Amino acid sequence: MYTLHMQTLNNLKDLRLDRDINQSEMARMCGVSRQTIHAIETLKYTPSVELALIIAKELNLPVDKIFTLKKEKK
Amino acid sequence: MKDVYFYPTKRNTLIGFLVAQLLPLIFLGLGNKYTDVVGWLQFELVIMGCISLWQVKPVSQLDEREKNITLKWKSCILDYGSSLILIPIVVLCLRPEISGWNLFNLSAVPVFIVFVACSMLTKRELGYYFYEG
Repeated sequence: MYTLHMQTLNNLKDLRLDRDINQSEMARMCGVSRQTIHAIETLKYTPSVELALIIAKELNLPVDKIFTLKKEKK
Repeated sequence: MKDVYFYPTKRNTLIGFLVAQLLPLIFLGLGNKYTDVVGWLQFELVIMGCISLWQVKPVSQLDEREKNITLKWKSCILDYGSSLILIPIVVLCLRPEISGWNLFNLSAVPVFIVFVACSMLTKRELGYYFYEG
């Protein structure tokens, strides 16, 4: 029997650096702390739908261009 | 409403720590028999504990990740803290003649240690010990 383990990946760091925005600015734009942006980029924290939508809005991209779901079979 | 929260920046923490040194004098008075070195050291532990419990931000300013982490560790404090209440109950069953002061120490001190430990772990997981603006 297969159990699906899902992990949310993101390319927030690349997109942020493309736009020449630092973590503090990104945090201020999204209304969260700098540590939260760092945690999202290093995959230590998966943001809520609300925060994901705010990030997408600030980067002017659809959510699925930033966040993707990775399925792992175990 | 004006924000009156005192943030635990390095400067504020140092001032708080130094001012708190006067607490034994305020509570016990000069020349009290408890204001010896050991008594003062006990006060130091309480002062350090209070400083470690000082929240980096007011709850209203925490974002969703910070709220999750804070909630997780607060539930740990409740879990471990409430189970530690069993210690004085067990001691009271075995030694009913125990004094109220010892009973208080057996319940309050472990709960305080859990409070301090969980608060420090919260700050470590949040990613900061001092507020940096």
